[in-house]
Amino acid sequence: MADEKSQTSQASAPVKSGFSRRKLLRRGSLAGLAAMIFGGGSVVAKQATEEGGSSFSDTVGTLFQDHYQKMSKEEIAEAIARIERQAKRDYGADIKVGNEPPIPGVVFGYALNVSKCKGVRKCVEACMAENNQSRDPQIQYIRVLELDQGGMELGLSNHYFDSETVPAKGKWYLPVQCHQCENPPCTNACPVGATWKEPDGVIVVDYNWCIGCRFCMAACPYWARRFNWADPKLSAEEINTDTHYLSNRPRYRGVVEKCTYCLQRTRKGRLPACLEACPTGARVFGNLLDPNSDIRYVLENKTVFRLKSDLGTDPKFWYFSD
Amino acid sequence: MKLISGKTRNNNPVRLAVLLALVGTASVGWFFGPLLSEALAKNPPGQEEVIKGLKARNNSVRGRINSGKTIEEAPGFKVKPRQPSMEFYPCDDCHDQDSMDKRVRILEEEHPKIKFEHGGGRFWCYDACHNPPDMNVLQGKWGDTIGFNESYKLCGDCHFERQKDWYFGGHGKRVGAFSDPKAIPLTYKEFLVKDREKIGTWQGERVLLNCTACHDPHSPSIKPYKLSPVPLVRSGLEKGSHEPHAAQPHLQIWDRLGKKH
Amino acid sequence: MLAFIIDSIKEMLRGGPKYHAWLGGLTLIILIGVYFYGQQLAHGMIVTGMSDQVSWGAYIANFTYLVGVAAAAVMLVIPAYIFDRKDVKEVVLLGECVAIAACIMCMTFVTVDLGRPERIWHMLPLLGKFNFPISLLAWDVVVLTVYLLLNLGILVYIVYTKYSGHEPNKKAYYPWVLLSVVWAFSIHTVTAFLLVSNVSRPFWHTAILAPRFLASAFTSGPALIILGLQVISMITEFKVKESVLRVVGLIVTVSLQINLFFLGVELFTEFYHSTEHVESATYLFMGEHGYHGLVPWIWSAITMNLIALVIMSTYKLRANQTLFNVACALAIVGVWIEKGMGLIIPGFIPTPLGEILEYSPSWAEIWISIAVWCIGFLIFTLLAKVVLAVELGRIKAPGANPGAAKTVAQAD
Repeated sequence: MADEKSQTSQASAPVKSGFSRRKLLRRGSLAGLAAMIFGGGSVVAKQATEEGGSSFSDTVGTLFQDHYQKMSKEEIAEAIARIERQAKRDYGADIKVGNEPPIPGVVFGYALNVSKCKGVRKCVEACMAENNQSRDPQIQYIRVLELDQGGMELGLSNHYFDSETVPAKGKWYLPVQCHQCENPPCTNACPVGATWKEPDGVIVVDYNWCIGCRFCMAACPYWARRFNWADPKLSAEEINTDTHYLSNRPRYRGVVEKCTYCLQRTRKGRLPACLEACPTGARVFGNLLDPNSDIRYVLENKTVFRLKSDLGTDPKFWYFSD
Repeated sequence: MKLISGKTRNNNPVRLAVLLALVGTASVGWFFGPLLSEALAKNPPGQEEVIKGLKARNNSVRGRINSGKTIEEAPGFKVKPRQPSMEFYPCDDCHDQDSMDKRVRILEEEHPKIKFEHGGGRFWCYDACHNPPDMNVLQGKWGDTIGFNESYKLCGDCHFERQKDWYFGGHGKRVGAFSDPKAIPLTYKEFLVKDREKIGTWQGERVLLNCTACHDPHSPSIKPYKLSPVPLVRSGLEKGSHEPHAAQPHLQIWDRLGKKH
Repeated sequence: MLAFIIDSIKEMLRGGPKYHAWLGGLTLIILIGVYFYGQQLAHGMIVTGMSDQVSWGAYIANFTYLVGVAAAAVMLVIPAYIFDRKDVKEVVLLGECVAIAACIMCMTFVTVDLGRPERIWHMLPLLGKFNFPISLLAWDVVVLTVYLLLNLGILVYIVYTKYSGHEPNKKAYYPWVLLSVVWAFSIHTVTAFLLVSNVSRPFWHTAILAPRFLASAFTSGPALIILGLQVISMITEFKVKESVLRVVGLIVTVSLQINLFFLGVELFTEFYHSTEHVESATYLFMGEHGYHGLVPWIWSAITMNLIALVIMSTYKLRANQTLFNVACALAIVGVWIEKGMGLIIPGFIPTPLGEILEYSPSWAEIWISIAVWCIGFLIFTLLAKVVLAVELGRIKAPGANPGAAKTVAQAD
C-alpha cells in the first residue's frame, strides 16, 4: 500500500498554488453530487407529502399501494378511505368513492346520430361537471369536430368552431370520445398495466398505478386520452361527490385519464352525463348483450359506421344517420 | 174461356207470359239466390277489420324492424304525461261546438303564441290533428280520439318511420336530469346533478319523453342552438392563429372544377 | 477489487485544472438542470412545452437519438473483435464507455419524462406489474438494462484484468462481446418498434422505420466517437491511430449513403400520391395549413447530411482532416435534428383527429435536456479517465507487473 501511495502522490505531483484550487473543485463536485441527490430527494418527498396532505401514513400508503387488480377487498377499501380523506384535504369536499363491479351480462355500447348532432357541445360541458375534470388546465374528454359536408376528412376539421348558432351552414358535427375498443392499442402500450379492459367493455385507468409515461396517449387512434399536466384545479362546490374508483374520483397530476362511459352512473343502471345533456337526443346507450336495448335497435336497423375501423380497434362507439 | 158477352178469347199468350215469368223468376232465383243469401247471411267487414288487414300488410312489408318485431312488440315503456304542463288545458274552457271557426287565418287573438309552421300548407287545425267535437282530445287518422298524454300516436300517423325509431329507442330521449330540452344548461357550472335519483336509466323501466317535449307540434322543426364554449389548449400554450377552415370553407369538387388549383 | 475501485475513484478525481474545470462546468449545468427538474416535480409537467396534442417532446426525442448512439458504440466492437483489427482494439473500450454513458442518458431521459417518477417501481416484475411481452416500452426497458449490464460487465472485466496486470481471457469475454453486438441492433430496433407499433400514427407505422433508425444511428454514433477520440488524442497521452479514424469514418460514410437512400424511399412513398396518412410528412417537409414550424429544421438537417455525404464520399475531400471533422459534426447534428424534431414531433402533428398544435420546448425542458447530456458527458469522462489510466499503466494493482498493463499503443 505504501509504495502505491507514494506512486499516486508522485503521479499527482501537486503544485502548492494549484492544490487548494483542485481540492476545492474536487470538494465542490462532491458537494454538487450530494446536493443533487438530497435536493432531488427532498423535492420528491415534499411532493409526496403534499399529495397526501398532512397525514404521513396516507402518503406512505398511497406510495406503496398495489395495482387495483391485485389488491384484496380490504386493501381497496383502505385505498378508497385514503382517497376520500385526501379529497377532503385537497378540495374540502366529502366525496364518496364507490367500487361497483361490472354488472354481469352487460357490455356497454354507445351510438351517436350524426344527423341529429348540431355541435352544441353541451355533452362536453356535462362531462366536465360529472367527471370532476380539472378546470385549469382544462381537461375535456369529448372533442366535437366540425366537418365540411361532403366528406369526412378529419385533417380539415375545425375543433374550435365558434359560430353564432349551430348548426353552421354547410357543416356537420362529429363528437369523439373514448370508443372503448374491444381491441385497444392503449392497453397493449402501457408498460405497467395501469389501463385495462373491464368485463363490461369499458377501458379503465388505475390512477394510483399510472406512471405518466404517456405511451397510451401516443397509441390511441382517437385522441381520447388526456394527461394531467398540473395539479387538477376544482372548487369544492363544483365537485361531484358520487364517484367511482376507476372513473371520476379526483385524480392526480402526472396521470392519464379519459372517458369511462360514466361508470359511476352506468354501473348503477343510469345514463351517462353526455347523453342526458344532449338537447337533440342524438346519443343512444345501452347493453349490447340485451337484444331489446336501444343500442341494439340502432345497430341492427340504422346505417351505422365506426371511425377508423380500418385500424382494427373494434370500437364500441358507433355513428349512425337517420 | 167463355166471356159474358158470348165471344170466345184465345188464352195461350197469357198462359205463355205467366209461364215465362215463372221460369224467369225461378232462373233468377236459381242463379242469384245463393249469392243473395250469402250476402244477406254475413255482415260486411267493419272498419276495424279493414284497418287491421291493412296494418297486417304494412307490418309484413315495411312495418317490421330487422329483428322481425313490429311496433306492437316494441319493449314496453311509459311516457311522461304532457297534460299537466299544457298552458291552456282543458281546451273546452273556451272551445265548444258552436264556436268552431274552420277558416284558415292568422290566429292573432286566440292563440297568439302559436306560429303554425307544420305541413307546408297541406292542412289546417281541424283537418289533421284537432278534434272539433271534443277539443280536449286530438283526432287520429280514422277519427279515433287520442288524449294529449298519448299524442305520440298522432304524430306517428304521418311520421311512422320516426315513430318506429321512437318506439324502439333510436329516437328521442328518456326522462332524466334534463327532461326539458329547452332548459339544458350551457356550461359545466350548471351541469352538476346533485340529486342522483333524477338521472335517467338505461336499465329497468323505460320512461320516455313525448314527441312534444322537443318538437313544438305547431312548429316542429329543430331551431338553431347557442354554442357552449370553445375548448382551450393547455394553459401556458397558445393555439396558432391559423384556422383556415373558418376563414376559407373547403371548396367542394364542383366549385373547384374549372378553377386553377 | 476494492483497490481497483478506490484507485478508479481517485483517478476520476485526479487531473489538471482544465480537467477540473470541465468537471465543474458539467456539474454546474447539471445543477441548473436539477433546479429545473425540481420545478417539474413541484409544478408538474406543465413546465414543459408538451400538450395533450403533442404528448412527447424533447425528452423522448433525445432518448431516441441516444439509443442510436448507444447502439453505435458497437460499431467499434465489430472491427475490433470480429475482424480482429488491433488498432481499433485499443479504442474499443472507449466505445464501451460511450455505450454506457449513452445508455444511462437514455434511462435518465425516460425517467425525467415520467409524470410520476416515484412510481417507477411499478415496472418491477413481482412487486409491480410488468406488462411484458406485450408492451413495447417494457421491451425497451429490458433490452436497455441488459445492454447496459453487458457493456458494464465487459468493460469492468477487461479493465480490471488489465489493472491486475493480466491479459483478459478471450474465452471469458468474447461470447458476451458477440452478444453485445447483436443486442445493440436489438435495442435500436425495439426503440423503433416503440414507434412503429402505434397504428394511430401513420407517420411512424411504416416498416422502414427500424432500418432508418439503424442507418441514422450508425451515421451519428460513430461520427460522435470519431470526434471524441480526436479530443482524447489531443488532451491526453493516449494517441488514437489514423487508421482507426479512417475505418470508423468508412462506417459513417456507408451509413450516410444508406440513410439518404432510405430518406428518398420515404419521400417517394409518401408524396407520389398524397393520402390523408401523410399529413405529418407534409407538415414536416412543406408545412400544412399555415403551420410550418419544422420546415426549416428538417431541410437544414437534410442539407447537413447531404454535405456530410459529399465530403465523406469524395476521397479528396475526406482526406482533409478539417473537412472530415466538419462532415462528422454535420452528420451528428443533422441526424439529431432528423431523429428528434424530424421524427418524434411530426408523429403528433396533426393529431389523430386532424388538429395541428405546434410544439416548442420550454426553457425548463431545454435545460433539463442539456443537463442530462452533461450527465452523459460526465459519466463518459469519468469512465474514460479510468480506462485510459489503466491502458496507459498509470494505475495498476499493487504488485502487478508495470509493463504488462501497457498496451500496444505506447509502442509507437
